Amino acid sequence: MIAESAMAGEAIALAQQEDDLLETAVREHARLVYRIAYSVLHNPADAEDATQEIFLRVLRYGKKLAAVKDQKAWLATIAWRVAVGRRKNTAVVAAGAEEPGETLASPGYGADRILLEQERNAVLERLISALPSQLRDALVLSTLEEIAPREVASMLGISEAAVRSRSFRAREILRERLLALTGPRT
Amino acid sequence: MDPMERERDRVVEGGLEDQWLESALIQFGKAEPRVGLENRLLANLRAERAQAHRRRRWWRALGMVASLAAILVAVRVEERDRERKPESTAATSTTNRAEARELVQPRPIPQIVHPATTHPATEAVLRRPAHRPTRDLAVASTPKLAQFPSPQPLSEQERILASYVAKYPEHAALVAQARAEALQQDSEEEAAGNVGNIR
Repeated sequence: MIAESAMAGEAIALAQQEDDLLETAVREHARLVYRIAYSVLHNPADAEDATQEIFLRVLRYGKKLAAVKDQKAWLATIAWRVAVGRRKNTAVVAAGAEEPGETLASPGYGADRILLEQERNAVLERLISALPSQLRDALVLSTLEEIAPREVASMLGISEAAVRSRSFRAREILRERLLALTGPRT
Repeated sequence: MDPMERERDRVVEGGLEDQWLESALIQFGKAEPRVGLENRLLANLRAERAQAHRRRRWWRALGMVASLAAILVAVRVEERDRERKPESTAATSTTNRAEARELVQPRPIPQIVHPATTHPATEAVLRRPAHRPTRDLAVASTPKLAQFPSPQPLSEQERILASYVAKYPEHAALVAQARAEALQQDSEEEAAGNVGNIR
């Protein structure tokens, strides 16, 4: 009887510990996870759905969560995989589907400026989507402030130098295409 | 200076497109979720956990019910088997025993005794059948049934006899006794007749 109650108490304590760990992970890394998902999916609703899915996976991971050494890198990797999987399964929603000023346009600007920025961002998203996946992945992850190049390298399974060179090449391509779109300056 | 930062600086210096590209990429990296993302996530996680708990409880209950049903079925089958066994054993054992006795017992063979060899010592030897009938032995050595008691149902006559015995056990006992006595008497008479013939 005593042993049973002790075991029950232990189980409750473990469950409580799991809850605490999960809550801490959500509070600390939810934004990073969201940004990674957003950088891949380019849609706030999809990014939030992906974030939900990622943390549900973490919930199923249960007891093993305590054994994870670097939670941030671990969550970033899961987020990246889930987001890439979603991108493959669903067509990327056009940026025009977003509500004006919802995400990327800076507050405090005039309506013309906001619309112009939205149009530019839509163009840029299309150009990024058209990049080869290796270059696109390196570029997208490099733009996230929270992730160091070392972590990007481990997420993509390549070296840091490769991350840098891919990111550089992606920027070069984007620059060329933007110039081609806007026309040569006089 | 970090090579990435150097590269970023170069891009920023590049021109209007570069500046725009850089600012857009930075903005992409700073996408903000709707307010209260963490709370929504936590609420969903709690709901999911509660649902999983409920689901687990249901599965456990379902498993218990299934195992209980399996046990009940097993017990019922066992009981039915037990109910069937005595009936079939009694029925088949009586018929089998009678058949076996009939098959194994050699038929009385007319004994040929020569008048010259009627010595008391040799009489017993002579009375023994010279050879067992091969047909009986062959029938008696038929292979045993794979299943015992035999699953064959009772014949019509056997069933009538069984019901008669069940209804009037005393009368049946008397009839059986009378029949046995009659048989014994017949065999005695037969034996006496045989002795007379021999003499």
